Amino acid sequence: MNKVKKESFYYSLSVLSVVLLLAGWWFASVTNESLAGPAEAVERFFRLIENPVMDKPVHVHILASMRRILVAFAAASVVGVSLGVCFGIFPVFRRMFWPVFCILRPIPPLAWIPIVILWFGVTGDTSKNIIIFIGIVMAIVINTYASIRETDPLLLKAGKTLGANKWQTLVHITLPDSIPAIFAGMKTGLSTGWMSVVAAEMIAAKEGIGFLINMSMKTTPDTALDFVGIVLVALCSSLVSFILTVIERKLCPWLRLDAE
Amino acid sequence: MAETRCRIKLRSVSKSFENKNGKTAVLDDISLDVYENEFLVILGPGQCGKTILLNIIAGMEKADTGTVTFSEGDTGQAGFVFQRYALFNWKNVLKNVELPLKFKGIPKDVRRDTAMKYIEMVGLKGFEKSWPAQLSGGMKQRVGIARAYASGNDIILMDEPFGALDAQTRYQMQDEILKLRSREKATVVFVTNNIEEAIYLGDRIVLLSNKPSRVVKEYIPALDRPRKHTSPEFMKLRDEITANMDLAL
Amino acid sequence: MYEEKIKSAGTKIFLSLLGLILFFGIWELAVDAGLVSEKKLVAPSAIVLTFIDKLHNVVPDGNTITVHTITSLKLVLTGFLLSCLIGVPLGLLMGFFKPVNRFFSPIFEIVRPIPPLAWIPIVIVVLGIGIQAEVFIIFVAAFVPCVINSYTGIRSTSQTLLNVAKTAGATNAQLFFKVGVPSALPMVFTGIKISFGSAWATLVAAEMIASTVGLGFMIQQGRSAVRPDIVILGMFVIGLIGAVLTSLLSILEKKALPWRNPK
Repeated sequence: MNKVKKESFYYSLSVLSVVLLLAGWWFASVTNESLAGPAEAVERFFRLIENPVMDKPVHVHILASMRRILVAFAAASVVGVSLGVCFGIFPVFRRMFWPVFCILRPIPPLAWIPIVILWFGVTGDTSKNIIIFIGIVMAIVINTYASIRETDPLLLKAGKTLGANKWQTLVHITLPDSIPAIFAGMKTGLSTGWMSVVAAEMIAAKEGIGFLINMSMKTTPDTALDFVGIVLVALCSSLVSFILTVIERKLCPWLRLDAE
Repeated sequence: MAETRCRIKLRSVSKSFENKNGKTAVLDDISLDVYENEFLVILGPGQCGKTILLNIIAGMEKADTGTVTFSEGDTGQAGFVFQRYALFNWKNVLKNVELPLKFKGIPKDVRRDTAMKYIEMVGLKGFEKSWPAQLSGGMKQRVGIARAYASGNDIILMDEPFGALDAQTRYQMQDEILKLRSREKATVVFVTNNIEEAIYLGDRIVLLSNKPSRVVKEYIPALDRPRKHTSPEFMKLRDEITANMDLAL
Repeated sequence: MYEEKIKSAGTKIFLSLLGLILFFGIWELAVDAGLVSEKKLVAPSAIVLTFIDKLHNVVPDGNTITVHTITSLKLVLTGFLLSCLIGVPLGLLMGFFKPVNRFFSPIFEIVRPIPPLAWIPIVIVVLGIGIQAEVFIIFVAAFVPCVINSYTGIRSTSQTLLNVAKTAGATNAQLFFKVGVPSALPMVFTGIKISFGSAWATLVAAEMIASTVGLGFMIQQGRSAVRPDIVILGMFVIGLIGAVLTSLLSILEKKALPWRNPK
């Protein structure tokens, strides 16, 4: 009985905090003229569907952002894992190019925006894709490389006794062992990726969720639109993360078993 | 006694390691022979270097001085059973056991049949689709043993394979190994620090001293199989070996 | 299998230098040989000159590089320190006391997936354009990793240790301060480092969007004025400062946790 009471107490705490949050929001919107409240944000979303921004309905904006991040993510995964593997298994390659990587790494992905735009222009997806790509690829390279370096030496030994050559060791032992770390790098990369999507679209795009957010700033502050944009970003990024997790579970059924 | 072929010859094998405090000699001038189809036990106190000796035989480490020679026509490859199983968690039992054959390029059906043969031999029929994470320690080691035998080498090296198991399972596995021996011919080099296990299993026992390890003595248990831990001859031999073993503190 | 096949230290150093020389060399040559337009890329040698120039030249963005740097640093440190002061205790408390967790979790989970930059329009409306808005955005960016890592850190406190302390009669408060917090410290430091990286990255973007001074603003202006040399200079300065400060945090961590072997 006591446990049920406790659980319902905790549950009510959670509900209370959400209620307080909404109440605080509403209160802030009432005191501040320009700030939209919860009701206005919802209304704005429906208005958005009817009344396109820049002649583009809302789903076009959503698709634009999704398209950019998925393309960049795919490219970053391929390049990132390959680079990480090269760093991990070719000592000459690593010695030569790791220092260069270390110089480029501390530069925040968003700091690349001006130079990429200078090189590839504002129109078209290329510059945005590249900016997002840079953000995601770093995390994947680092995670892949670290994991390959830390492959359990016992498993490598076992592979040797079973007659594996270098390529077989990579495919059957090193890479499968690193899959969890690679997926972790992908998730970290994705959150940086969404940052880059929003930033790139705020600065230099004519469609996309970031563009909507930027619009909300330009014209007489349309904070309701900003709220809509925020919710859209949160939903889209959660969706993509969820799909990634599902893929990981399907790909690696052995990871979810209860350990002995 | 019939003339049995010598499969592996170790002559004057020595090895030391460098660390912060200077050089530590681990193996000191070890010479021994391993004969065809025998179950040779290398017995020694903990940390005496027996694992390193086995690694040298397996080609995973190099001796500083001395030689390891295999008999003529031998590839020098041996199956290896690890104390910590070393199974690949992302492959099921069947794929684990098949792996050495896959590396050799053997076609799928032949691979499968060979692997199933050994899986049955170690008593794991029905578990071929299970993941290693679903198996108990004893079962995992059976997979490890099946995998080593499936690699097609008829020399099998075992590095304290039952050291991570509880006592009950350990006794079970000892019997399993003997059963396996009667069904599949192989030359086995078995490393342990457990005197009773050595006497129970070994055709021949080589006793190593503490670091730097030297061959102290060789024993050939003149006991009929199946051996009994409680028989007077067993216990007499156990006392004799215990007296000769340096116990590291 | 992947052990170093390169035996001599000399070869190692040579290879590292070779890689760097190739990188900067090809860059320099590409520009000098006219393969790349001067509008897009500037040679490394020229960037050094730009740096020296920017030390006292306020063209084209209105300030010297020193002023930009100091402004950016002030902002990022303010936001970062605030987020540590609030985020770390919050994360620790959330991880240790269930009521605290249940109360703050929903809010946190809602805020977490939102890129901090997306808040800019609202923040500007509420706080006005200016320093407070930027600091707030940086705060939000740095806040999340602090909380998450502190939370994870204290959650992984060994139950055995807690039981030992309980049997010795420790109160909840003592358990928290004497067992939970110390054992969470390694992860807390990891979180702080990530948090700083996030803060620094967000600052740069925030300055590009909503500021008139700072390194982020400087490179954005560089783009508008088609001065790739300023852009690249800015990128390197940003990267360098980020790296230096992160190393300082690592040194701080080593001092605070001498018993830990940081990876």
